[in-house]
Amino acid sequence: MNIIQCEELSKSFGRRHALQRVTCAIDAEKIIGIIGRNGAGKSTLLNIFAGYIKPTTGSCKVFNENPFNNIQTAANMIFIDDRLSFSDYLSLEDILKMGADFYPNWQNELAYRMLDYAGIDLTAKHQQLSKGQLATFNLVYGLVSRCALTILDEPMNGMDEVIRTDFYRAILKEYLAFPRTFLITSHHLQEMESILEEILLMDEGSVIAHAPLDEFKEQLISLSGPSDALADLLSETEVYAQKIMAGMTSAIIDASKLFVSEEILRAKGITVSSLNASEVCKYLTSKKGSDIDAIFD
Amino acid sequence: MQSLTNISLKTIVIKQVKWKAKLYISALSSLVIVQIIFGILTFGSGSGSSGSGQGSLNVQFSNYSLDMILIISAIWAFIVALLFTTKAHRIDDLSVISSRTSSAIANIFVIIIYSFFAVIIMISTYYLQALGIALAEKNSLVIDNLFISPSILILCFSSICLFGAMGLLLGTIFKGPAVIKIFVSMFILLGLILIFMSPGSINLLPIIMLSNLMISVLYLFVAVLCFSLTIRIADKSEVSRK
Repeated sequence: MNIIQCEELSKSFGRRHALQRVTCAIDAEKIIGIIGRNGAGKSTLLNIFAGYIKPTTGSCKVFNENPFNNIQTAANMIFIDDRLSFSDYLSLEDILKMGADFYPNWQNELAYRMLDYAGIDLTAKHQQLSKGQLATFNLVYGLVSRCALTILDEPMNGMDEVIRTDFYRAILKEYLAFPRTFLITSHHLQEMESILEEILLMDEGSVIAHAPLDEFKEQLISLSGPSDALADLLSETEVYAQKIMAGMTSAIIDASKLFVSEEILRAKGITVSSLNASEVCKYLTSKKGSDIDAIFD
Repeated sequence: MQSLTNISLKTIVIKQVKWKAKLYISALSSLVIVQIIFGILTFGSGSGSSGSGQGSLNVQFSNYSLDMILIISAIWAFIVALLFTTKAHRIDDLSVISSRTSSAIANIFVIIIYSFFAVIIMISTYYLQALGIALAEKNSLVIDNLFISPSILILCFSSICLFGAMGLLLGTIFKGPAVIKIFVSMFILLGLILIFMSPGSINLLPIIMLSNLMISVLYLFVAVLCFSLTIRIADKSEVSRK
């Protein structure tokens, strides 16, 4: 069942087109990674899902309703990012009390245990926390609210590696204990890959891929072998990246456009290897012909 | 699938009012402090004074009334309401279940509650000032009207409420959609032009001549109008988190 349905969704801020004709559907009870480079439109899309901003054109339904300024969407959704803020007069303990008062599925005991594990003092104020502690507290706040739609926009920003690893596990455990939809954006895709079920890849305001993780990783493959043997093959397909060194070529190509069997390729000395999700994202979103080395040449 | 939570707007507004009223209580303490400072500054002269003398005879009259205390309270309400609409407060609202509509309604209720407390603070200041003068001044104190009639209390409440409503409306307008901002700016500009071009066209005398109760009703009517517009604009506003 879809909990989010977008049709031809566009959003402009003045002359800047943040989203362009986005059509997508998000299933319930899945952990979905919303991936894209800086300025790809991820946060704009999440802000529309959260009901904070209106699309310029197109439609968006969350829980079958227009989410904009909708109290029912707000009651079933929590949006966690680094801009989450609380009154200066509240200690962290007071914030937890307030959360318990508002969110019907709130897990106060779990919040205490997780914050104790992360070594965060509950008498401190939200503004007094370090960047990493702030991110940890915000993530705990989002997890223990147990909303049907939990949006985490760069939730691990500022956390150290140990806490990041722990909290990926915490997300997974919370998901198993209380299945719900998680939408997570992060630049640490490699770390997060293990908990994701689907990836929605965005580039320049459009969704360029939306598939289960395994299917997504199989979109591109890497071929390496003698340049002569690969030349004909590469001329017939779209090449995402290519490197030639000492007569050997390695190239990243679209797997669906490769019509030659692996046995034939092996016979020609060409090896086929798969890529991880992070590499697929990198190649699908990198601008053609752009090369950082070229700036310094 | 996890069952969805059904919460009514009313429930959320009640929760928001409860937390907001508790959190922004310092606004009331700031009113107390301002009124104490004002009370000390005007201790000798009151809200207005006049004097005359002939030969060795010198007569000095000092009037002590609620007027200045009310003006201070009204300005306080306007500023507090304006602060409620600032970005910091609006972003704080997003950390719990809320919508722009629920937050606007909650702010209105908090302003109404605070206006009620502001009247109590005003009256307390007035009586404390009167007591202080009676004890400290050696000169004769003529008490014209020590008992404050309910109609004056209602007028004070409606005046504070009106300024609070105006503060909320102004703050909401300038965070609202661009069309409304342009429309209101044009309206204010035309209003100012009208005042400067023909000052006689605005005659407040019929309003001033009304009874306290009638003025209160008029003020409350305008306040309700401001509150309604605030909710309507908030309903259309997007959230800017940058």
